[in-house]
Amino acid sequence: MAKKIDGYIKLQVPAGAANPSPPIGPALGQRGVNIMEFCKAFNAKTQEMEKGMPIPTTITVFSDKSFTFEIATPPASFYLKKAAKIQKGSTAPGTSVAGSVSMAQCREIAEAKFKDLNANDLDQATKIIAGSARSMGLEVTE
Amino acid sequence: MTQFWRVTTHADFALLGNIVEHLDDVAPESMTSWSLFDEGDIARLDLIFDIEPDLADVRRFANIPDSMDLTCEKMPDEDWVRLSLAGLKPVEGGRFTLFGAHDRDAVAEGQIGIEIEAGPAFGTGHHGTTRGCLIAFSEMLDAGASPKTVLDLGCGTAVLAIAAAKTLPDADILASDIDPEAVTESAENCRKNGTPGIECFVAEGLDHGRLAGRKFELIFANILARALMELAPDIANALEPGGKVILSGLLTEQEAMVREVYEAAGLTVHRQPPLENWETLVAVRD
Repeated sequence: MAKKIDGYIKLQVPAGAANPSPPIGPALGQRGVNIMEFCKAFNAKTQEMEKGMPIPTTITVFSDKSFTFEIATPPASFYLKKAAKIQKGSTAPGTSVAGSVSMAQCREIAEAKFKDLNANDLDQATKIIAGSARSMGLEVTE
Repeated sequence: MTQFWRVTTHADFALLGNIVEHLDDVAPESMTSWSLFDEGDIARLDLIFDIEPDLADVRRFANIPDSMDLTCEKMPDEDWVRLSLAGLKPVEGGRFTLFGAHDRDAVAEGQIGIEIEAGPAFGTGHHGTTRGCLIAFSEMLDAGASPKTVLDLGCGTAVLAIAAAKTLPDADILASDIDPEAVTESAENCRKNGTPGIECFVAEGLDHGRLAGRKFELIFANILARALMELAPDIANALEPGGKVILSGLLTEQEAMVREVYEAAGLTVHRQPPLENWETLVAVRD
């Protein structure tokens, strides 16, 4: 018989560097998930990635407190900040510009994130990334 | 200690499922996680923030209608690691049983008990890596092995060094870790288990004065695949002829690449039965 799913936890975890400090500890601990077991399994799975890269992670928790987890590509904002060489987006998008990215960079990001984007082709995915860039206060250049 | 705030709402599971579907696109960076759990007749959604959130803002971005309850509270200042591990049952690995203080009476007759309290160091035995090492070590002891020099490299809680100390009373045992917090915890665990002779210290791999030029008959290396691969030449070099290293912390899909590196370093590698997708290898220097 399949185990009963109790719920889901979603958070961003640094690749290869999960540890029990916040936010992982509070997010998993409040639900009785074995924090150290998650950290070891997550670090084993992500150790080939760029260390510290934020990885959106969905943990499925079963009724016996055992768990599985799935990882996705880093958020578009992570790639965009890296491409624009900035620490954070604009606090007032639309009014102030935090930096700029080119459409070619948006396309590269779209390629990296394609499997997690709700897009039929790369052109559509690139437009989604360009939209994310603008909403962060980045100028998108041709 | 970072302070966290928890915003909670309750509704039907499917309704909350719709809310979380779009959360990642709209939530501010201060929202560090969400969790959605079934609680019988109703489901509960928690959103955790690292700054105090404005509930009106939360309703707006998460699209939570006014008809649904929404509360915000400061999260208690808990030791989450200990809390999450406190209820776990004792774990058996070969001759050894790992238990927390609350389970001191749970060690079966004939088993060697090791008391490991839940803490931030790796190695409470609740996944296949530590257990795989303890089983491989037990099999070595069953076969009559009696190494005189033992190193627990990347010792975490020092559980493996303690297992060695409890079964090899004449052995010279060292335990090292790159993490000072783990070493502090190791020393405390050694004291608690009546094995104070284990020398615990902070070291990055084998690059440490106390390890320079030393040879070991047994090395435990329960780390991660990449680190094991990087350390392969140093580990092979630190083994006595006929010495063994028990390698763990690698997933089934990483087994072949780790094995190849250790074979290339001149060791003969044996694979133990995998435990929940975790592999343990025993490599022998000829």
